[in-house]
Parts: sequence; C-alpha cells; structure tokens
Amino acid sequence: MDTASEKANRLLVGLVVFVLVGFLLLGGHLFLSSYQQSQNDEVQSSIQAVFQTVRKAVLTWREQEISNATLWAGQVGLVNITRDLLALERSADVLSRSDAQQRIRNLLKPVYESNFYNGFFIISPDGTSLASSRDSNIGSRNLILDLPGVFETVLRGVPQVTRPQPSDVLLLDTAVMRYRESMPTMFVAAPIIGQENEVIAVLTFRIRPETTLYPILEQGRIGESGETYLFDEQGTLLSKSRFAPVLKHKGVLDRDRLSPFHVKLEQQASVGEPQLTRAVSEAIHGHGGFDIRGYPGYHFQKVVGVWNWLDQLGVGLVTELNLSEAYSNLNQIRTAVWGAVATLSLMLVSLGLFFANHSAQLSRLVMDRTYELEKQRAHFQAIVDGAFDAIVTITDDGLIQSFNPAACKLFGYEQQDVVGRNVRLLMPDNIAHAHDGYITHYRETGQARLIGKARELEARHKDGSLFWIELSLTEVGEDDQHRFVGFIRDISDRKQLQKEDDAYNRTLFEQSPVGLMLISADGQFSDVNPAFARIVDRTVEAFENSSFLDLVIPDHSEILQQCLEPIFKNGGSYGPLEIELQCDHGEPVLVRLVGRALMRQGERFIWSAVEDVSEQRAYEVALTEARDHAEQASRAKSQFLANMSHELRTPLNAVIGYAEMLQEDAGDQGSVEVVSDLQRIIDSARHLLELINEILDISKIEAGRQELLIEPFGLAGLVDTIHALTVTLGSEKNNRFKITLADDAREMIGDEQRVRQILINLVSNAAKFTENGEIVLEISLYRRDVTEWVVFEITDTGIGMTREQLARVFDPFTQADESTTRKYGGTGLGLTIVKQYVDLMDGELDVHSEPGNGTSFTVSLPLVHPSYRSAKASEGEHGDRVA
Amino acid sequence: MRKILLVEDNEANRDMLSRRLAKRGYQVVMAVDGLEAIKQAVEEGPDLILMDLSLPNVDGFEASQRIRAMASTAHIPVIALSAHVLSFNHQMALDAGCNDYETKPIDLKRLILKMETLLSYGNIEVVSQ
Repeated sequence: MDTASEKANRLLVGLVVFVLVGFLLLGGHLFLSSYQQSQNDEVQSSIQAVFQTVRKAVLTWREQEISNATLWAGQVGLVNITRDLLALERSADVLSRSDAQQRIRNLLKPVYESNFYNGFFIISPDGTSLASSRDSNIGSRNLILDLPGVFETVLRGVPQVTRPQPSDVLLLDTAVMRYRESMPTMFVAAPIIGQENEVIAVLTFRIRPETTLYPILEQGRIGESGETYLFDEQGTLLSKSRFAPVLKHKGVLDRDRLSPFHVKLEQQASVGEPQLTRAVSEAIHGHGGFDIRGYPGYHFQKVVGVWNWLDQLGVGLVTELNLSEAYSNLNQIRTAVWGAVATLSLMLVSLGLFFANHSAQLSRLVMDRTYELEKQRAHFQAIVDGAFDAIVTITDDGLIQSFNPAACKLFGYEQQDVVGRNVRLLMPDNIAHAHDGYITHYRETGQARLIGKARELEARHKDGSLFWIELSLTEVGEDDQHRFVGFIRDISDRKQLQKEDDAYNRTLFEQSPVGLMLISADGQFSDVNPAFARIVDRTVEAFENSSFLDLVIPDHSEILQQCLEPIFKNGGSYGPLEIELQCDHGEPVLVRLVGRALMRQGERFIWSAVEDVSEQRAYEVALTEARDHAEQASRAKSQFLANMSHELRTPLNAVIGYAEMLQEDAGDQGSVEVVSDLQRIIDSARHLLELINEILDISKIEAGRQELLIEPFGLAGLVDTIHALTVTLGSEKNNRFKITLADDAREMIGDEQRVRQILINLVSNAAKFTENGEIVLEISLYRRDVTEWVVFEITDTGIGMTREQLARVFDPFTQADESTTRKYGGTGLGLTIVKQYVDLMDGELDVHSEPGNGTSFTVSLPLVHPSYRSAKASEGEHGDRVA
Repeated sequence: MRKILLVEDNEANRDMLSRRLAKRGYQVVMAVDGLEAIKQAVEEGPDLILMDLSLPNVDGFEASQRIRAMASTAHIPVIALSAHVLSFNHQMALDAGCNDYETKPIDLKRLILKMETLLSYGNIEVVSQ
C-alpha cells in the first residue's frame, strides 16, 4: 500500500472525527438552544437533529466502505490475479474452473464471509463478472449495470457505493434464518488500477445492509412513531419500515412480501389518485426541507418530517414522526432525540478511530472491524436504552462541553450557566477534591479509572442542596481529543428507601439485647451497640479509637487473635468462643463470641455477637459447688454414723456386761425372777446392738467403704449355712424349710460374705412373717444373652404385702407398719441392706407379693462377677506379654 | 494363776470386765491409757493383754506396736478390743501386732475361748524358745 493513500486515509479519518465531534456539539446545540423556544421550534429542531445525525452517519459509513474497498483494489496480489482473469476466455466454465478464480476467492474470503458482506465480484470493463464468491453468476452481465451511471463512474476511477436494490441471488434473511428472494443488497465498487494507471477492472463487495446501513437508520427511530428511511427516485422504500405490520394490515403490503422494495411511499388518502408524500416528492426533486405542521404520511397518519436527497448514494432520506406524538409528549421525545444523537455520534467516532488504527494487514483489518463493530453496537445499544438519563460531556481538563435538558432539569441550571465551566460546580466539596485527583491521574497516566463503572455519589444542585446520583462514564475521542460523556440518573428515591432500610437496621442494632460489634482488620472498633457497651460497662462513645484486643484480658488475647486472623485473611466465621473482657470498672466479664467476616466498601470487617455469660457460668459453678457440698455432707453423715456406732457400743458393752454379770450372780443365788428380768435387759440391749450394726452397714455402703471380696466359692457351703440357720428359725414359728440346689449350680464367683448375708436376711425375713407355713429357697442357674446368672428364689406362705407396702419394701426403717414392728420385731433395715448388696454386686432383685398369699423374693447375681472377669483378662494379657 | 493386763479407758467397762475375769480365776492388772499399758506390760509381765484401741495419750495400735517391739514383752499375746467394727480397723490392729480382735459389746464366752487358746499357744511358744 502506498503512503499517499495511507495519508489520505488519515486525513479522512481526522476529518470525520472532527466533523463528528463538531456535530455532537452542533446536535446538542441545535436541540438545546431550542429548548426554551416555542414548541414548534423544539419539534423542528428535534427532528432536524435526528435527521442530520443519521445523514452524517450514513455518509461517513459510505466513506469507510469506499476506503475499505479501495484498499483491497490497490493490493498488488489482487491486481495480479485480475490480470490473469482478464487473460482467460470469457466463458462461465473456464473462468469458474480457473486457478485464478480459486486464488481470488482465497484472498478475499475473510472479507466476503464476514458479517458485513456476502460476496464479491471482479468485473471486466465490458461488464462481465470475471470472478465471484458464487459460481452461478460468473461469466454473465453484472448486476451493477442495472444502476444507471454507477459502473461508468467507477470505470472513470471514482469508487461508488450503490443504493439498496433487490438481490439477484437468494440471500439469507437472518431475521427468520431463511434464504429469500429480493433481499436488499448493496455494492461498494472500487476501480482496479493497472500499471499505466488505467482502470483494468472493477472490484465490488456485496454489502449486507441489515448489518451496516440499516442499523444506522434504526437509530433514527425516535419515540413511538419516529423513523428515518431511504427511498429511490420512484418513491420506492429502500430500507425497513417500522410500520410494515400496519401496511400489511391495511392491505397495502402483501403479507408474503416482506422486502422493503414493495412499499411505494404514497400518502394514503381515502379518495383520489395515490400520490407520493410531500417529503418524498420534494426530495426526489432535489428540494431538502421540513414540515412541522403535519402532512399525510405513507402509513395512514399525519406526520411531521425533515427530508433531503443524498446525491452520494442516489437516495432520498427522511426523518418523520407522527404529528400526534410530536406534540403530545415533548419530554419523552426530547430524551429519545438526545439518545439517538449521542449514540450515532459515538458510533461514528468509534468507526473513525478504527480506521485511523488500520494496519497493512487487510484481512486482519476486516476481522478486527467485524469484532469492533459488534462490540460497539452492543455498547451503543445499551446507551440508547438509558437515554432518558441526564447526559453531560466534559473535556479532559474537566470543563463542561454539553449539558442536556435532563441534566438541566436535574441540576437546576440553564445550559448557558454551566457550559465552559468546571464540572466541580456539580459536586459537593469532598467529591470535587477527589475529582481533581482523578483528572490529574488521568493526565499523567492516560488511565481513566472511573470508565465503565456505574457509581453512586452525591451531586450538588444549583440551590446548593445535595442529592444522590448514579454516574456512568464513557470516554470518547482519539489522540489528544478526549471527552468524557457522563450518563446521570437521579437515585434520590432509591437512596431514600435505602436510608429507611438503614434506619430500620440501625434501630435493630441499637435495640438488640445481644451485644453487637464491628471491628476492622487492625482490631479497632468500627461500631458497637449499647448492649455491648453495657456488657463492658462503657459508653458507646468511649469505644472510639480503641482496639478490641486491648479489651481482652492478656491471657485470652492470643486465643482470640488465632481465631480472628484467618477470618480477616480468608473470610468465614468463628466461634462460639468464650473469653474474658476487662471492664473499665470492676471484675472481668466472661463473654461468648460468635462472628463472621463481611466486606464493606472493599475492606474486611468482622461482625460479632457478644453475650455476657458470666452469670450463667456463676450458676454452673454454684451448681457444682452445691453438688460437691452435698456429697461431702453425705460422707460426713456416714462418718458421723460410724463414730456414733462406736460411741453407742461402748456403753452398750457395759450394759450387757453388767447385766450378764448380775444374771450370773442371780443364777448362783437362785433368784429366778431377777434372772428373767436381766434377760430382758440383755435382749433389749442386743436388739439395740443389732440396730446399730445395721445402721452402720448402711452408712458403710453409702460412704463407699464397702469393698467386695470376689473369689470362687461353692454354693453347697452356702446351703449348709442357711440350713443351720433354719434349724434355729424353724422351731420358733413352726415353719417348714425346703432348700433346693440345681445340679449344675456348683460354684460362683462373688463376695461370699455378702451373698450369705443376703440369704440370711431374706430367709430370716420370710421366717419372721410366716407362721405354720413353708419357706422355700431354690438356687438355680439361668443364662440370658451372654451372661450366666445364679438365681436365688425365696418363697414363703406368710402374711404377704399390699401394693403400697411393696413399693416401700426396700426403703430404710420401713416395715409394713408400726404394729408390724411391735409384733414381728426387726430393725427394718434387713431388706434395705439386701437391696444395696445386690446392687453392689451388679445383680437384680425382684419381689412379688399379695396380702395373705405370701411373698417371693428373687435375687439374680452374675455367676462370675464382672470385675473378676476383667481382672483375669488383664492377667492373661500380662502373661502373654511375658511369654 | 494367769495374769491378764486389761487396758481400758472407760471406767465402767474396765470395772465390769475385770470383775468378770477375776470371777473366772484370772489375775487382772489394769491400765487406763497406752502409756500406762506399755509400762505395766514391762513391769507386770502379764501372760496376755486385752487392749482397747481408742485410748488417750498413746492409742491401742501404737501401744501394741511398741509392746511387740520390746524384747521383754514381744512374746505377750494381745487381743484387741474395740467398739470399732469396720474391717479396716480390724486389719490395722492385726498389722499393729495384735494376735486377735474382738468387738464390743464383748461376748464373754467367746473372748475367754480366744484367751485360753492364745494362752496355751503362748506357752508352747515360750517352751520352744
């Protein structure tokens, strides 16, 4: 590529950018200056602004298409292939099978397969298609010749963009994803220059208007009914109509023919011959103009409009808006107009930027362009969507360049009050200061930190009041021509709601009975509630500039740090954790903490709920103390009983001793009465002794002094003991005794002394309450689960017990009733001791009784006491180790 | 006549038991506390000692130990008499050198049986020495 064309391109781009930026201002000015004028003027200027913007955009786009095609046409490779093609026979077969055909397709593939094109031609000066992306139209007369004057102009060396025309081939309609006839198609045509500077052929690219030209026109669709469209000199529509559904409905447009070329732009009068609308007919005749009083449009509505003829493309251009809408909702239209103007301007600036940065790599260029345009389009669409917002443009040194009506309304200024002044005017002092920083930073580094981010900040109204806005910044321009466009939305309402929410949350925070605190990463208190302040006996104000760690007692501060550090680093939660806090006055207070990390304005904090648990802990301590005290008291009682027993036995020893001595003397002297009286003293003393012994037994058990002596012993020996007992007992109340020992019950492992005592107590008890009856002791073995039991069952035919008596039978000092004690004697402790011994030996005790039908006690004891088994087991282990 | 040293701090019990033993033909010497018991054991050289365990000054356990530790008295049989019935007291008495243990109130028949056994055993012991 030669440097001349590069220079030309740069010049072109510079020009375009200059025009556009100027236009942005002009558009704004046109519109804004009309803001205060009559409604008519405002409508006119609004439509004018849109029309002019679209017109400029269309023409700029055309220049770029030409520039692109010219670059390709000048490429050496392409010129060489063209020469080869020209040398071939002009037959479809030869041309399409030629090597040159393949080479040219390969070369141009990146272009004609992009989103913006769908084909290319190399056309010989006689109008024959030498090469094409499709075989079907090679060797025949090219379509472009249908357009009067275009091909001739190109052959003279002037590139052209043709206006939309119905396609000769089936093209994909991406709206319905189907190939259709008569799809709109356009060409950009550039001369291919030979060595002697002569035009040897023409290169055309088939442009897809729906991805290039039509989107520009669609930006001119303002409000509900506004549109901007193209037409030819016959008054045929060349772009899409937003009223196609209306036209179809009215029968003007055939339902099956969706192509624009079937719409004749005639005013739809009810009577008379149809005639072109005023805008179309005047434009065709070369008269640009406007009508804001209203004229019949092509879609059954009166419209206001601006029109002109674009010689460069050979088309007419109109921007129209329904009359009713134009005067009904001025505010909305105003915003829509501004949105359209801003979007188109920005779009064009970006196109200009793109071309300024092109490289020699043409295919790359096209690819990049595809990508860039897609991106920009999405971006601009988003801007349009938000066009109801206030828009303020500033220069890179902070001076306001434009200020739209919505901005005027929002800030209370007239446009002329603010344009040219520093944007700080609109900011409260603290933000204005920060803004200076941003501007300086931008100037030094070229980095605009706020671009692309919506942020909430406070703005200053003309009357000095502050209000909340959301600001989105976009940067436009190139080289040293930078501007920032700010889109501003009033969010006072939202902020108010947020404020109410905050107030509600604040109330919860303040009123919470649970202590709450927020600490920052350096451990400083960021916020505390009154409940927390109360826990440590401070005022809320006293927390300012103090550290949480200083409040923790030294012993606990390390634990706390270990808990909090990972959360400050990685987030998450901690607790419950109990630590002591040092109160300003008095004792440390024990608190339970639960908390989690949270982010606030990019900084990590930890929220904690704090609960004073010192009282709860005091209860726990008191409870433990009470338990210990009770246990100690119980031990003291047992000790007391043991001492008591000793103290009682000593005089009792004297009583019994003297009585026996006297009885001996009396016996020697033959005084029989004295002997029997002394015997009563001796019996009573012995009863007292028995009572003391049993009380002591119980106290020994309760004091935990009872140790079992676990050994193997024969059950037969036990039976002998009981048998000897029954000989004495049997004679007293004329009872028969029967003792049975099962054959397999030979030996058990337990405390023989205790087992013996149990049986003596139970048999004595049975004998005590049975007269002229039978008392049976049965000893047997019983296996349940893995444990073998020795079962002792003592059954009598005595007086029995009521249900109430049964319930208390093992309680100390409770015989059935007082009279029983008098009648049957005993201490009332025998069964209590049985119960305690059975428990001590991990056995079970059961009793069945009915008044008058005797009583049955069943004692089940483990055949082998558990402690013996485990002792043996550990011995075994030991032995194994030794071995 | 067998000489019995009765160590008992309770006056009534001392009186009662000494009289009953005397009636059965024993010569009874008495001591009211542990220190006196040791002194009497040395001075009187009894054939057998009946030793109460809860005594003032030196208690029965220590007195028994000391009597057992002296060559002149080591051979004298000692029967502990106590109103303490817990088994650990019983064991402590045996550990202190007592030959047997009887709980109060005294079953006199049984006590005399034990005394006679020990007195005859003591003779054999002495003879063998």
